[in-house]
Amino acid sequence: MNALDELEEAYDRYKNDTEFNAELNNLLNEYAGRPSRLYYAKRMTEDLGGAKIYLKREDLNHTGAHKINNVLGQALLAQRMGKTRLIAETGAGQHGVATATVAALLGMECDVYMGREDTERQALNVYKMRLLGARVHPVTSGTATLKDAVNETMREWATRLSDTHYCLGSCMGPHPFPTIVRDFQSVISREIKEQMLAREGRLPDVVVACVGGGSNAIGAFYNFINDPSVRLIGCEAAGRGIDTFETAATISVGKLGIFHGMKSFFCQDKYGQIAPVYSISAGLDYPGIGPEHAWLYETGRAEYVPVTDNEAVEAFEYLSRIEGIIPAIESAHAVAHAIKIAPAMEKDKIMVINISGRGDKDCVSIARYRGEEISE
Amino acid sequence: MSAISNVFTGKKAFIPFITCGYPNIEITEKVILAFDNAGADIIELGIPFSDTTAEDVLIQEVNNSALSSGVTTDDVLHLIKKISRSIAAPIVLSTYANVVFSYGIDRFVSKAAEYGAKGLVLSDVPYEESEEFRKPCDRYGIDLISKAVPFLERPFSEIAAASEGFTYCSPAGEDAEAAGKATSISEMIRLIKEKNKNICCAVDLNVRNIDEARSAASISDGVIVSCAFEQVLRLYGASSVEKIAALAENMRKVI
Repeated sequence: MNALDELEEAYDRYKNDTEFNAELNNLLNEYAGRPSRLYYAKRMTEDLGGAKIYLKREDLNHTGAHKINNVLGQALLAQRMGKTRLIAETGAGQHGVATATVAALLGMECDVYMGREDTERQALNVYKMRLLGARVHPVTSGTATLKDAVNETMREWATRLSDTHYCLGSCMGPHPFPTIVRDFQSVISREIKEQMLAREGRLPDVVVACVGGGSNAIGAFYNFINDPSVRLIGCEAAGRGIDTFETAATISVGKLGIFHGMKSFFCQDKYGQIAPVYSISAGLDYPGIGPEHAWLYETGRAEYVPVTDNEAVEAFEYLSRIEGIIPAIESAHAVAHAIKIAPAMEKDKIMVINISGRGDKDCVSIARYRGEEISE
Repeated sequence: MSAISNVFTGKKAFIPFITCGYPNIEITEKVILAFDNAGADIIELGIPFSDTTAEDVLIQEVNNSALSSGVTTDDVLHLIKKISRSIAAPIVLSTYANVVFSYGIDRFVSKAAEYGAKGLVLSDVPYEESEEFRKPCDRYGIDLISKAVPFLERPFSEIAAASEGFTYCSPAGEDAEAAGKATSISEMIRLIKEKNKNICCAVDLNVRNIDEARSAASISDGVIVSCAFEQVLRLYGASSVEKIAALAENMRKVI
């Protein structure tokens, strides 16, 4: 817990520091490639025949996902705290790759913990992390997926606080992590707002994003929370359906609990044992949701909907064909819900879908889902 | 003085721990009776949790294995109801926040108290976050036992001053000590007692044998033996009870 106090103190000290923010913004722009594009999806809009659809292209960031926004912020903070080593959990491997990348950039040591099952589903990302100089530790305890990777990273941090920062990848865990991750990801909604005002002269009507722990969604929602005209929709991974045990849709099937240092909603049994969860998407395969999403849900400010594996795979293929953009299977959950609701919306309504990452990493497993075996 | 703090009067306490349901609840019952016969002063019983993040991965395996045997919170509470009046040692329950929270904090604590438990340890609830649990514990007469770790920037003497039953002392780890961020556990106990000499400090130092038990007793008011007995269970399965009884008797002698 000592480390959390230290982190909070450092974050409070640097979050408004001019030099810190100048360095962060420089890296976000020059290294990660921000601002990311807000792209008008003309063919998709015409095909669905309803709302005007824009895609926020976080997939175009360096390393191929929104994760780098948060990692650059936390790594610079860790350096200022005198830390020389980053450790991280990863599900799909996108956060692990982002952490390994920034560790390489800043000359820091890096260890990534990843569920053994995920190291198999996302072998390419495991290789990338090693190529970038990180050590990847397959986690075999429990269900050998993202929650167990978080457990193992927490344990590792507890034994080595002196030189190590835990670069947590989602808006979850104990305070101050949910706040820090939200702030570093809020660049997404800040840019959407500026870009939309410049393009359309007004705010969007709907913002849609996928939610596992919820970092890309909180980033896409944050600067719209006080704009009640903007509907905020989080899309959870329903796996094989919310009426089955093979799901990760926390808001649909979970209940309030205390786990991983936070009070929020979790998939759990009646005795509070954390449930094994399932989704085709390794990045959404987490049994909880960040506490700020729980609050947005309870206050009714945001809606959360379940999207099945099958709907997400269809959306993955749809966006590839109609716009020439292969989204991450995580982001495809948001695309799937947009496909459901856009046709019924008026043509003068505007929808933004956050494309949180790119889908190269998913091609092998989606091909397999469709019964095709491919190898590189 | 509570039933728990009383046991420290005039002697050092021997506090064996076992995870309920590992390998099954029938063995757990026999092990509890063996602890009591060996002269345990307090018996700490773990209610298994799926994700024991505050402890090492071996503990997680034990917990997952216990859950696979089908043991539930209700099974553990019923076991306490069955045996608490026939043993001398007070029972302390040890688990994670979500087990108690999901059961309903009030419902859990009132049942535990009614069935004869005297204390509760929550491994993932730091002192600063404990109020939600502390109030029901106070209401039903359960000691909510605080864990103290010797990080120098942490107010461990305040934690100890507010602790009920005893202070559950765990080391901060070699890394934190080497970095000058933590002190040794014996120094922490000295500092706590400097503030209030009436506080009893029991230590959890992963004691695995008689020598380690003796040395842990020399720096504290009591020794929690958390993994040695589970090690025996892991090695010998259902035939462990006699070996556990013998080990507990030998440990009792040196503490």
